[in-house]
Amino acid sequence: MDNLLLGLQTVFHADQLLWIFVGTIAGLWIGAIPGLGPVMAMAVLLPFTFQMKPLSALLLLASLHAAASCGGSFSSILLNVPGEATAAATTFDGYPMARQGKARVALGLSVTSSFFGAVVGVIVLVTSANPILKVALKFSPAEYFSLAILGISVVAAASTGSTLKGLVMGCLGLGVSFVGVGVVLGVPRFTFGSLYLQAGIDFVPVMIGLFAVSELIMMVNRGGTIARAGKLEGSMWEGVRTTFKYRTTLILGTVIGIIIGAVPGVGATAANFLAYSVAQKTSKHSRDFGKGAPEGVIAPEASNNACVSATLIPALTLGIPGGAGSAILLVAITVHGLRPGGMLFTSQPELIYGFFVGLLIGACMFALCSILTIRWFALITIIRTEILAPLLVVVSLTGAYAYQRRITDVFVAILFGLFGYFTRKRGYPVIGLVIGLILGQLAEESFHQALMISGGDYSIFLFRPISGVTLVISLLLVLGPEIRNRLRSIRGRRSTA
Amino acid sequence: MARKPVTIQRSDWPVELAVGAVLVAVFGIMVGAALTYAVDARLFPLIVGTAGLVLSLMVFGRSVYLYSQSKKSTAPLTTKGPAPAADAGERRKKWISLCSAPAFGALLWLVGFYIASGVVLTLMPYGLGYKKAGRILLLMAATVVGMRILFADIMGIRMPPGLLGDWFLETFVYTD
Repeated sequence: MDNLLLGLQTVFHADQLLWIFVGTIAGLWIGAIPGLGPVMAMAVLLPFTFQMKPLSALLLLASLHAAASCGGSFSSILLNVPGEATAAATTFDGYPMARQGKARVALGLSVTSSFFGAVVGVIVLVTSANPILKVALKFSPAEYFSLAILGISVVAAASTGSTLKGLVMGCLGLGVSFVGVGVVLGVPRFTFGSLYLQAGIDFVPVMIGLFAVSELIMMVNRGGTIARAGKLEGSMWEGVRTTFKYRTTLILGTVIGIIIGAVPGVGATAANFLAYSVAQKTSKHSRDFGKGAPEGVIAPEASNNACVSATLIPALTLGIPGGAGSAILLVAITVHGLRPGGMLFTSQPELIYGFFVGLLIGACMFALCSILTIRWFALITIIRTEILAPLLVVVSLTGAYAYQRRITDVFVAILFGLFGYFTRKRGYPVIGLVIGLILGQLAEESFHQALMISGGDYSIFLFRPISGVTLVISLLLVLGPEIRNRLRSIRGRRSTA
Repeated sequence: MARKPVTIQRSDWPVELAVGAVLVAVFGIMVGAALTYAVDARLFPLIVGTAGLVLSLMVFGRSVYLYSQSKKSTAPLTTKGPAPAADAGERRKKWISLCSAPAFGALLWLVGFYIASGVVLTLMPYGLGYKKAGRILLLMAATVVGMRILFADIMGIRMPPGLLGDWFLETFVYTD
């Protein structure tokens, strides 16, 4: 408690609050624009932070990261284009709500859930970092592999359309992740002599193509406005109130985000989908998922913001980044002469607890800034597609270029955009491709590491308890609906016979 | 309760066939190429490629079955087609939707961000039926300037000049 008060005193200065504000505003905007992810923005800003005081640098970067997780959901809800991969699951129910004219409600749900997840995540970070870390350290390569498979299964089971098609897209995403220099032997694979392909196919242009480009094609063909009736209904405060009606979903999503975030290397994208899937399975209104169910927005949004805070647990205590964002924060910590570990908490309590208090203030700021701007963001859904579609073409493809300053990324985005349009028309959930691409490297690396540990024995994936249970859950997620449908039809035939 | 039967309409079949064929081909190539790599390098791609191939063949087989079910339907086409003018409008929208992104990409590569954005932001709304020229030009200018400030000035990302832009700069600007 004394340390927290010390942190409060340290943070409540005009310059620290200003950096939190700058990071929050930048994060909200950068998160909303596909191609400009928080990690890229943090990487660009990092050299500027070397001249700043350590606490200011950490607060700027951390508040940018947290706000971007919230901002990324804005374009998910309004345009069906995730601002970043961690907001992808929000499209499942957020966009249908926008199509129903309830964009303000959906944004209210998103901001409230994000705020809740961020605050609880920070509280857990402050109070329970060590016990959670003990659980996270039980994860070996076999568990990481199983988690990657679970991520793909969750997406296949959770998205609308056929689970089989979802698995096909997951395999395709894994296949795309193999392009480039292999993680095991370091030899080029599937490059077919191309220098571009040797660097691998990055998920950002693929995501921009699959979501932004394919969505604009659909938008132009549909015409009208995103909101079907051409007007907005409901209010942001309705979204805020509705969030607390689904307290179980809110808490479950937050807990999932914290657990996944504490496991180094898995990331908020997997947490996002897992939270959505669990919410769908445990909800009394599971049939409404995919059609604008509030819980379909609450769960992933709470989880991805809780995850952002939780990734700091292994980063600050062990120096192992939980994700790319916390990796950059670690660099900032190291550059300022600090060492991650237990000593950081005791030797510099004003810094570290000031950082924690700053994260809480940042959460309040992004919630406030979002609430003030939601009514303007929501107007996007009543802009005619003749205006919106050209804007989307220019912004999204320029974002694809901006990611790595390569024109070939623009062509990759266009190619995947056309592929995404035709596959979406035929019921293939393109998000499966994105999640396979993101988790591909983790899956392959941990697969080979697990086999090396077991001496080539594949049973390691089943007989390690956490890994075995995770794989069984994945199998149930994929086969469960099909088994349930067959049992229902057998019972139906017996009752009519 | 009986499950609602799913069929594939004749109009959807070419896309279904093309997507299925592309997926089977991609996984087939993945498996074929993986066999040429060293053991460790090919193991995981082989597993994923084989799984993908089997799954996509299952999906493709199911699609063929569903299409054959819809072909058995003898219900005559009783509805009239859409009016010719509406049909032409729909076709124009379809072509604009499919070609706008590739056109922007090609222009971006050839003439750079500013001209490519100007062309797309001016012509695309007009082509889709939005005729207010003043608003189109205002929106185009605001977008280009806004993006220039965000990407170039704030993020430090140089907007692509394009092939012709590079030639122009090298010939007339960067002279020794």
